[in-house]
Amino acid sequence: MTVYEDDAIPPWEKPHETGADEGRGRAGMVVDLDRCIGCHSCSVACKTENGVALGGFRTRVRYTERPDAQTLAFVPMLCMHCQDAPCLDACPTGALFRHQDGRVDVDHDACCGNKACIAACPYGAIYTDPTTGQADKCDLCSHRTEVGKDPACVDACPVDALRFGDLDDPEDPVTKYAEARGASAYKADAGTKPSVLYIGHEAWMEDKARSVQLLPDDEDITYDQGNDA
Amino acid sequence: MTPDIAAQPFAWPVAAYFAMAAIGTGAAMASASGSLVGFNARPRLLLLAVVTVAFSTLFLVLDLSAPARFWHVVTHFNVSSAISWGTRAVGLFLIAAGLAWLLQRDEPADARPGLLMRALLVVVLLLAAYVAWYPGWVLQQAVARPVWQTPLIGWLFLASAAHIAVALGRLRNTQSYRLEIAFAVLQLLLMATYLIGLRVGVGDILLGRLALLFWVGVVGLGWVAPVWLVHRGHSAGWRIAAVIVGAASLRFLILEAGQGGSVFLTGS
Repeated sequence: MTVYEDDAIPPWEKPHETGADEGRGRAGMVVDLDRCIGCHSCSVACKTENGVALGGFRTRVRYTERPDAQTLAFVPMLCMHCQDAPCLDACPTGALFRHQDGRVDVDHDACCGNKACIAACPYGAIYTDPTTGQADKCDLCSHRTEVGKDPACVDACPVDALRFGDLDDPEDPVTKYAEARGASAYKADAGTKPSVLYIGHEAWMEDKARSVQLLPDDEDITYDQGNDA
Repeated sequence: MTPDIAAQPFAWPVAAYFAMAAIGTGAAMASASGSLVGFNARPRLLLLAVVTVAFSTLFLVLDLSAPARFWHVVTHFNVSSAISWGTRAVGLFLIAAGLAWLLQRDEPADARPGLLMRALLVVVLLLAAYVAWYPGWVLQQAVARPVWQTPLIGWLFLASAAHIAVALGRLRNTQSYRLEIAFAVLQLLLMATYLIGLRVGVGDILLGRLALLFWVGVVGLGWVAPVWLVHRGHSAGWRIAAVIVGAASLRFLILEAGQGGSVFLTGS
């Protein structure tokens, strides 16, 4: 599907050569936490680009107090497009499906809002769109990547903390960057094989988020915009 | 502060569905097993089962955030989804139990079922067991929630439904006291195994925010009270009520334990 006419694309948004297009590769992203400054540009760009309803977020930025209690760490969170996605197994209607390039997407015509996917997601990446009552999540801006552009969050990031590419292509600059910087999965122990990899993430970030999951009334400096469900 | 996973995907209607389905499947198990072993057929329990389980599905529709699309769960099928299988099982259960009631309703209480009827009752029994068990699988598919990551929940739910069946069945069969005690003890052992195996949430259940529900609802009313009432020779009605309240408490407890908020707060 072509969304943009070639003539309508400004020079600074010309299609790049390395995007993982529909039908090939493994669309993925690398999040460099050493670069992230917690500015929320990605969240805002995502909401604007995808018309995300008030109260919902496809992309969030989690603020977490570092162990030294002096500084904060910023962790952009989005759908990890897991290769073993538990949301796909849990969805009874097949509303969640996988594109050929590995992206996990929602077929809004099939979703009935039973929230099994929300319960299954280890990353809290799926939420109920309050306007439709249906599940919604990041699709890596498929309408943009299909025409060779980067997702809106990647374009908006002022410090190149987010990078989109084909993780199956060893020659892709993003794959090379991920390998060079030792990118790894967030919550690797969930066993879902995410296609969004993190640079500079440390175990305490996961432990801290995990420690509050059953105690929502706890006072803790860990917070993000959040989706209720 | 935001938890790492969605705090409250399943609200109270889901627990209410689990509880009502347990009552319905318990009633079906009581009637079908009674007929199969040659006493106490009580086809009215089958009617109770059909009505209760059919009504319980309304709670599931109520929990949908797009309830007008509830039929998608019926018309679509995902082979790996516990809800997909459960939906089919509930539909088949309603058909089988309804048919069994229609065929048995005018039979005398001491009539022995024929071969086909026995086969149908076995199907009803198996489907009832599955409908009682599968909510445990539904919860287990939420891989992010360690409190639900055990097959024991399904078996605990099944044992609880069977406890209801024994309680209902013993209205006319005073020989089943020991069976009633046995199912209370079985649940106690399953729950103890479950709690021992939990990595998180044990404190919540035993001493924390869920302690009242656990000790009073599940243990007190669900397991201890029925045995005590049996010992004191009280009427079956109180025993059945205690078992049912205990079964409902068990399902609210498990659902609540795996989530961050309260099942009484609809997250969506």
